[in-house]
Amino acid sequence: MRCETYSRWMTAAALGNLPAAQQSELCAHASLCASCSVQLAAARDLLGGMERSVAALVSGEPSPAFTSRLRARIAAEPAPSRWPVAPRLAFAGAALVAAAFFALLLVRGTRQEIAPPANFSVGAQPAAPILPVVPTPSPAPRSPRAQTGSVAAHGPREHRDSLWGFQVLVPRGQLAAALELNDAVNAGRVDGEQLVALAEHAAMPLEWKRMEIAPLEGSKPEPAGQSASPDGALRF
Amino acid sequence: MDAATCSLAGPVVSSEASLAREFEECLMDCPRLAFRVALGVLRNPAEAEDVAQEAMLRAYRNFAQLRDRQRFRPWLVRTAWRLALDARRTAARRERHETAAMEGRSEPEAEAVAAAREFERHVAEALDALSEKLRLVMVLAAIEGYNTREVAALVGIPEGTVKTRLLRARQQMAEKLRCVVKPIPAG
Repeated sequence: MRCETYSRWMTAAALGNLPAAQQSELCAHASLCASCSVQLAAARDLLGGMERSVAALVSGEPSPAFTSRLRARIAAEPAPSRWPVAPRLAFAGAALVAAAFFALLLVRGTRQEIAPPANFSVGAQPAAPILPVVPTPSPAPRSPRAQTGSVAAHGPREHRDSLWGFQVLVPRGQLAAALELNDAVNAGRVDGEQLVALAEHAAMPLEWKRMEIAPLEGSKPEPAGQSASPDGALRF
Repeated sequence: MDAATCSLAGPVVSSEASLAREFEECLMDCPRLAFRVALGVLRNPAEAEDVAQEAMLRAYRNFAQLRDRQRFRPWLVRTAWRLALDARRTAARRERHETAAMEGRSEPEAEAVAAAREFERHVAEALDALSEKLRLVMVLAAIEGYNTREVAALVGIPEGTVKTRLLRARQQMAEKLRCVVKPIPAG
């Protein structure tokens, strides 16, 4: 093998990174070749000198005033917090968002009252399609609230019991029909055979349950016991 | 203060006090580490000291999360390294550096000293020519003779990776120096 090839092995040999077979081959050659022997020694010297120079580059001490200077700068700083501000703010923000989310869920859940359908009417306002009559149970006895003037209503579906009591949502324009139905039911003039089923539930028997109507908490009373809900329906 | 008051006020006061005490302990030996890491990049003691000051100040601000010694030193090394690289990139600092270097050249030097400086300059250039990853392990290995395990802990990489990077760094630097410093013709 030529010396030029061995020359390329010098650095790796000086670093001790040459495979054992090549290392022994190079040493054997260097023992016979003066030039390669010098090169190998030079490579080792160079590596040693390089390590020393790098060490010299990073040697040194900060000046004696370093600590006092640092202390002076630290003194001007606010004390370090045990729990830094950024994570604390992030946690508070996340908690706030979570609380708002659950509050929204709660409110939406309680507001999901089922409004009577648009075609639900009695007497003077006939429903658009005349649907099959559904047999219903006889009306239950009046509740004390109904007897004292509160509105008692029967809906075509089971209304949800909210946190504040029973509520019935009536679409705009159908309040008169709903009130008429209410009066008719309370007076015993209407029974189940006179009511029509909903268009979408034509094949299903209606389920009747007596409900209590109570004014919404905090709602401003309107004439005839009406109040507008955000979804455009009227509560009474 | 009676015992009951002490027990009530104790946790808050003692936690703050222990935080300050732990930082004081870090102040004893860590500035040198930050200084040397910065010096490995900047080669200028005054600038390296500025960087070390800034790194320590940032360490103070974040000390609540860094009080674990195993985390503090690697964090400090990384911060000092980054700050030093930023400082070096600053044009104003580079100009100052060049001015200082030109002033140095004007001084008469003995031949041996001049040769040694020349060699150091070549070594510094070869070091600068390394990639950032290789340079960091090379500098850390040179600081206080850290072994590969200690360098691995400081950089946060496996020891085997440190060994590989160190070998590659030395090989690249040696090859570069061999070409520049002592061109020996092959036989």
